[in-house]
Amino acid sequence: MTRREYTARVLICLRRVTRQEREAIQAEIDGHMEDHICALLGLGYPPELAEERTLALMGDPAEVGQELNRQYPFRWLAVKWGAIVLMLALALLVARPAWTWAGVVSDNLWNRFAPTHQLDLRELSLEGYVDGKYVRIASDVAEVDLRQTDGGVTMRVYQAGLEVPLAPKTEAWVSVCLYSENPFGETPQIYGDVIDMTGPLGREVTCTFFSGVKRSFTVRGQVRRGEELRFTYEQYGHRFDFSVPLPWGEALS
Amino acid sequence: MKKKQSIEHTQLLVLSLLAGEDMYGYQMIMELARRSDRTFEMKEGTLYPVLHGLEKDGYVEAYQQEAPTGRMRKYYHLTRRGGAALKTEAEAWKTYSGAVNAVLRSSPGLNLA
Repeated sequence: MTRREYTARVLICLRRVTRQEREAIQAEIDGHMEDHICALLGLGYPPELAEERTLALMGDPAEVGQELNRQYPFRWLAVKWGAIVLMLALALLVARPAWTWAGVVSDNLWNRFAPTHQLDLRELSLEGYVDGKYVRIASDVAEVDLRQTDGGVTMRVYQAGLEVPLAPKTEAWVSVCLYSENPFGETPQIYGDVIDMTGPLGREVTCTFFSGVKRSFTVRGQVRRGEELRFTYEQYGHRFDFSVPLPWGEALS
Repeated sequence: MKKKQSIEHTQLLVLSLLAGEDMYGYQMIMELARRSDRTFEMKEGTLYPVLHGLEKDGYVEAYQQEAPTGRMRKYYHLTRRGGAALKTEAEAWKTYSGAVNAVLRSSPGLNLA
């Protein structure tokens, strides 16, 4: 065993020390052996014998390492890591409101000027690929621009589509978004369980939400050929009534 | 025995070495061997757990000082708390060893009187 190997065997036992403590211990033990070897060389020992004798007098490196390890209780390392985690948590806590505010402003601007960036009916599918073909929820989609404002919040209907335009009865889909008239103002997020959504008498109208999109969604309802999709949306004191023209096109001719 | 010693004998010896002057590890080993007429020749590596334990408990504090070779050496210094512990434990040891000696001296077959 060499001097370097002895120190390495001591250090391998240290499991609760920081990097700086490990380096300090390494320097101290290595320095001790250097002092001893120098003293023996001064007495006329040949270098190999001086190192051999020094190592013999140092004792079992594993025993030394284990005893040293006991002097560094786990709690100090736990305190250090606990402090780091706490600082990170505090930083996140401080950063979160700013992050949320940036999200609100971003949604307001996208929904006012380019809502399809957030949610585009032409790209949506509930089934994904079937027999190698991407199945979209609406085959015919038209751009519309219907807006209603209530209490500083605007609801915008910007797309309308039909599943099977030539059928006497089919599913109609429309894309809807919310934004605040004040770009920096709060816009309510959409939560399915608080929306009061009603359609024409006897007709069911439902909302479909898509993950990661907080202020855009689709409204779906069954319609007969030539009809418009009517729905009422009520949430947080805002109420909007829409009757959305659908892209019947050739189906009416 | 009236009470269990709060520090071990090796720790007591190290504290007593540092009562005179600040020392580094190898110097302590040499001094301990010299003062005990080579009775206490400990495995040298085992000194460091003792020193680090004393440092953790606040009995000694360490500082770096350059050796003649240019390498930095870690010196240990006895703190006020360490000095107080040394005084207390040395008294306890004196009482204990005095009691042991008294028993041994009173044993007729040993002729230690």
